[in-house]
Amino acid sequence: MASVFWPCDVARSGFYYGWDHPALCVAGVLEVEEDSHADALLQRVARSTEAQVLIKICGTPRILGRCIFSSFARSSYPQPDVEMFCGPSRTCSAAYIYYHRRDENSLRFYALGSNGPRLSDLQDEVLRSSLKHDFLHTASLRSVSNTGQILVNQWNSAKSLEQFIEHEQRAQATVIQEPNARFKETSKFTVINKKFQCTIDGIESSTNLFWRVASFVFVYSREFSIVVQQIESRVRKLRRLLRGVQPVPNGDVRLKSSQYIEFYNTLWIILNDLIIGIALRQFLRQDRQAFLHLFKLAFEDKAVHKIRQILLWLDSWPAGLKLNTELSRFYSHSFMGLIALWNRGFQSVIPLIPMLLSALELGSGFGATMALAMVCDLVCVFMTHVQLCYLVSVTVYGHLLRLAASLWNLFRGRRHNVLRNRTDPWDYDVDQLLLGTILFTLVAYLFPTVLVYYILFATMRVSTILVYASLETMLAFMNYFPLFALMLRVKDPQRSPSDIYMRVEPTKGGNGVDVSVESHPLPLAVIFSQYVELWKRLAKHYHPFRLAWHVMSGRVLDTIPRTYIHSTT
Amino acid sequence: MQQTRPLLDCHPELSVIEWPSFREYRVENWQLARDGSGNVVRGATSWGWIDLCLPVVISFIWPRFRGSTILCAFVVLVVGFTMYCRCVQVLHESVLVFPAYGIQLETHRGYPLLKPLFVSRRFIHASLLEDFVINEGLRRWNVRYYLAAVHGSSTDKIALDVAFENILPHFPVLLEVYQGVQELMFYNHTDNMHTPI
Repeated sequence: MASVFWPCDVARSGFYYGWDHPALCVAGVLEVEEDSHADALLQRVARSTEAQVLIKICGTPRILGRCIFSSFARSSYPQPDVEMFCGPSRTCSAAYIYYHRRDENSLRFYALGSNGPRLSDLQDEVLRSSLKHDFLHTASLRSVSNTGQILVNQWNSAKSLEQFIEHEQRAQATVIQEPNARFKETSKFTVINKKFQCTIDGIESSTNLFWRVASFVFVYSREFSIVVQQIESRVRKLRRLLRGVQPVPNGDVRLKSSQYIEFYNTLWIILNDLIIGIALRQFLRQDRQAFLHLFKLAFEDKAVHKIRQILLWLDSWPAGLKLNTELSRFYSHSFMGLIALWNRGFQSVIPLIPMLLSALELGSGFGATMALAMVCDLVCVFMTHVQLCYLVSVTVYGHLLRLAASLWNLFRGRRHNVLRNRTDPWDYDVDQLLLGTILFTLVAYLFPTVLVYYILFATMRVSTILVYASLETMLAFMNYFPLFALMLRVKDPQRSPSDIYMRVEPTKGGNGVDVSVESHPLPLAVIFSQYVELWKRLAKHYHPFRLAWHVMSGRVLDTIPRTYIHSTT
Repeated sequence: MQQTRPLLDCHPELSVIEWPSFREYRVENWQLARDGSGNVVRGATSWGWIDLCLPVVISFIWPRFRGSTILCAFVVLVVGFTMYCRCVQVLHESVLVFPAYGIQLETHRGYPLLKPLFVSRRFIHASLLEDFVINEGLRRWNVRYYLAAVHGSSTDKIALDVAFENILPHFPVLLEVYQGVQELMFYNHTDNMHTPI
C-alpha cells in the first residue's frame, strides 16, 4: 500500500489535486461539484505564467481523486476517505504521511540536506570504487536522480499552487499583485547603486593624474594599513546591502531565504557595530586624561627605556656570558642609536597625541571595528623601532646561519648541489679549505653574540605579532559574526532547515501512529563554517611551532597577508 | 500494527513492527547472556550500586565542605552529571523503512523506566541512498560487523551512516535487518531483480 503525502492543514471534502510523480503528493482540495470543473480550473492555472515556474521545478499537477472527511473522526491530523482516479480505484484509506504547507512569504521551507559528509576525499573515493565493483549493485550512481529534490519542491510549492488556484477561481483578471511598496524603494536603491558603480568605474578608468595617484596610493596602502582594508570591506558590505533590496522572482524560496538572511545579517552586524562603537566613544571621552597618561607612561617607559636598559645589560656580560666585546659594543650602540632616533621622532609627535586620541574617538563613532582597526595600525606604527631593529638583527643572524651551514659542509668535504638540491662530496683545494676553516672559526666564535641580540628582538617581535594577531582575529570575528542566522535558529528553526526527518507519533486514539515530515535546523557547525575556516587559516599562520621554526632558522616573521584571510569572505 | 520477534531464541531484542506506511526494525538495549544461561544483560540500567554509594559519600564529606561555595558547587556538578548520565542512556535504536521513500535511522535515549526523552533521527531519501551494506570492521584482534547506509549528499560526496551505532548488535540481527531493507528498498517486484528504485 503506497503512502500518500497529505498536507496537515487540509480537512475539506472535494476533489484533491497534486502530483503523482515521483510520489503521490496532495497539494490541496477543490470544493467543486464536478471533476470536469476541477480539471478545467487546473488546466487554466497550469497555463498561466507564474505557474510555469512552479511546474518547471515540481512537475504538472493533476486531479488525483475525491476525498470525503467524516465529521466524527477528530484527531490532530486529518484522516480522509479517499477515492483515487488513477490506478485501481479503491475507497479504502491509504497510509498518510503528513507534511506542513508553508506560505512562500513566511520563508519557511523544507530542504533535502546539505549535510556535509564528515568523511574526507580519500574515503569518498574508496566508497565510490567499492560501489563500482559491487556486481550486485546495478545501474549508475543514484545521486544523479533528484526525485528527492522534486518531492521537497512540491512540498514547498503546495501552498503557492493553492493560492494560484484560488485566484483563478475568483476569476480575477489581474495577475498576482506585485510585492507592494518595496518596489518603489528598490528602484531608488538601484539608482543609488548604479550611480555609485558609475563613479567607481569612472575613477578606475580615468587618465586624470590625481585619480591615478589616489588609486595607486589606495591599492598600495591596502597591503599595510588595516584601517584602509576595514573601510574597503565596509563599503563593499554597504554596496551589497543596496543591491540586496531587490526582490527575487517567485519560485525559489531557498534563494529568497538565503538572500534575506544575508541582507539582514549584514545590516544587523553593521548596526551592532555602530552601537558598540558609540558606547566605546563615550567611554574614551570620559577618561581622556587617564588614557593619555597611560599611553605616555606605557609607551615611553616600556618600549623605549626598557629596551635601552636591556641592551646595556647585554653589552656587559649578561648572566656571566662572555660575549665578544667589540661586536657587542657595536651592536648595542647601533641599536641604541636607532631607538634614540625613533625616540626623538616620538618626542616631537607627543604634542599630537591628544589629536590622535580624538581621531580614535571619531573612528569608534563609525563602529567598534574601525576603532579596533585603528588600534591595530597604531600598534604597528609605534612598534616600528622594534620592527627595524628586528629586521636588522634577523638579516645578520640569517646570513650568519647560512654561512655557518655552508662552511660546515666545507669542513666535512661536501658541497650543496643546487641543480639536484642535495649535498654531494666535493674536493676542495687546500687554500679553499684553509680559508673556509678560518672563516668557520670566526663565525663560530661570533655566533653567540649575534644570537643573544637576535633572541632579544625576536622575542619582542613574536610578542608584538601575537598582540597584532589577536587584534586582527577579533576584528575578523566582529566583521563576520552570523548573528542573524543564530537568532533565526533560536526563534524559528524552520526557516533555516538543513535536513528532513519523519516524526512518528502515537495517535491520540491509542493504536496507530501518525507520521509527519519535519525539518532539522541548521547545525551550529554549518552556521559557523566560515568562522571555522577563518580560524583554521589564522591558526595555521600563527601556529607556535611554525613561529618557533621561523625564529630558529632566521626567517622573517610577518603578519598574515590580506588575501589569505579575505579570500573566504 | 503488528510486532514480531524473528530471532526469538538467540536475539529477542530485535523486533519487527509493521505499520501502515513503514516497517520498523527495533533493537532494544539489552541482550541474552552469551553463556547460554538465558539471563538478561541490560545495557541501560535504571539504578546501580553506585547510586547508593553516592549519597553515603556525600553525607560523609558534607560537614567538611559545607562552608566553601566552590566545593558545594563541585558536588552539585557531580550529582548533576550522574543524573544526566542516567537520563541519556540508549533505550532502543531503530531503522524505519519507508518503501520507495527512504530509510530513517533513529536513536532513542532516556531514563530506562520512562518514555524516551531524546530522539535523534536521520532520514536518507531513496534517491540519495546508494546501498545498504554490512561492513566488516577490524578492531584490535576482533572482527565486528556493522550495518551502514551508503548515501550521497548534495555536495556530490559519498558518505557512510552507521545503523544501530551505539548498540552494535551481532551478526544475525544485522542480517535480518539487511535482508528486510534490501527487499523493501532495492527489490523491484515486477522485474524480479535488484535495482535502484
